[in-house]
Amino acid sequence: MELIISTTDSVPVFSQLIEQIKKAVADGKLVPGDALPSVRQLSNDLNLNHNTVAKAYKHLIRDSVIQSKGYRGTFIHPDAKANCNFNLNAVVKSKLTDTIKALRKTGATDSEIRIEFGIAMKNKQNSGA
Amino acid sequence: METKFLFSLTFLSQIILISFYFPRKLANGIQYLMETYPPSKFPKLYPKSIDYLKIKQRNYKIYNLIILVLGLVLLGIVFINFPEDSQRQRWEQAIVLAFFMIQFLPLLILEISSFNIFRHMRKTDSRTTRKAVLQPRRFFDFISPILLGVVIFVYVTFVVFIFYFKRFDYPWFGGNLNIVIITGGNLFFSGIAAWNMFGGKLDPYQSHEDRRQQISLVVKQLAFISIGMTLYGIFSILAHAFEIRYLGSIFMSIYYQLIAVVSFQAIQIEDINFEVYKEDK
Repeated sequence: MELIISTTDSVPVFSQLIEQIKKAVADGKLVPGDALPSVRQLSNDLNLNHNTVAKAYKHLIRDSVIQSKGYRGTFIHPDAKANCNFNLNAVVKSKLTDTIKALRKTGATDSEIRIEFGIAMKNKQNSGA
Repeated sequence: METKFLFSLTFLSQIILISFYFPRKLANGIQYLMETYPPSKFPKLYPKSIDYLKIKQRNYKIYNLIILVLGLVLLGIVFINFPEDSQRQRWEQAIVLAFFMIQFLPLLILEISSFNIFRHMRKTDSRTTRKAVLQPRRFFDFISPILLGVVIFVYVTFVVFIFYFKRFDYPWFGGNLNIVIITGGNLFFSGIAAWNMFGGKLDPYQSHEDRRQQISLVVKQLAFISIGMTLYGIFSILAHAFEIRYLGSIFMSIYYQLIAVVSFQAIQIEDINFEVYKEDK
């Protein structure tokens, strides 16, 4: 299975990686248990920063599309096919849109929402959650 | 006298093999490449002009010719002038070693030039898409477990041999230093193998299959060199202990020739995918 990354695309490179791996799983080109290259190998092959590939892998692990088995490497998750259609970004986007709509209804301005959202995020980070 | 003759014959073989036979083969390969895959059809193959490659090829031939003549002169001096005394053996070994290093210099220079060409290839590569195969490269994809087993077996045998030999208390024996040297060599080879397997691509256009072939070749070469190096280490100590050092320079020359035979192995030009070097449509 070949990955093709465009450096001029408006979609970030790590998102392109995630989408292509998910699509390969959905199309059955990658099946549970298939081994994936290491972060180092893939980043060198694509001439990308290691962190970019690591970020993509981290997202895929979070979504249970792939799983890391320590020194043995990274593999396609047993439930990858079911999980690859789940888009956490879309869920976040939808929930935020609903929240913003509700806040606007209360009369809060966009500026107030933005400031409070920033403070809330900052507090969450500081509390270590 | 027989040893002297045998040494001359072996040294002559070293001179011809490393400074004439293999270089001629390599230079002919470059010539074939330039003629069969010209810049007009395969522009990406020549990030620097074809003249650059021609100059490097010509220089490579000249350097080897000079070394060939030097080798023959050396052979004449060693064969005719050196007296049969205890110092002769030392001189022979020193000459074989020094000359072998000189013999590999043209190849080293050519390698540096090819690195330079690849660097330019990467610099001039204006593609905005990058491709990679989503398949892990693993050590056993490139080397058979049997060959690796032999490498490990020979190494372990060497370590056991050194520990066994230590009990004889020879004043000249280096002891654990031998293990350090051989282990260092093997670690160095492992590093080169890992760099080939997981490091960045030197040639940005190289096809996936060609890269796998190349890695496989390099890993096997390193395995054979490791085996040769370790066996030669054992032989050298035994030769010293059993006082057959007069054969040392002969075996040293044979050992270097075997290294050259392994090192000069390359993928057949016909097996390389040159389509990747054509102009993008």
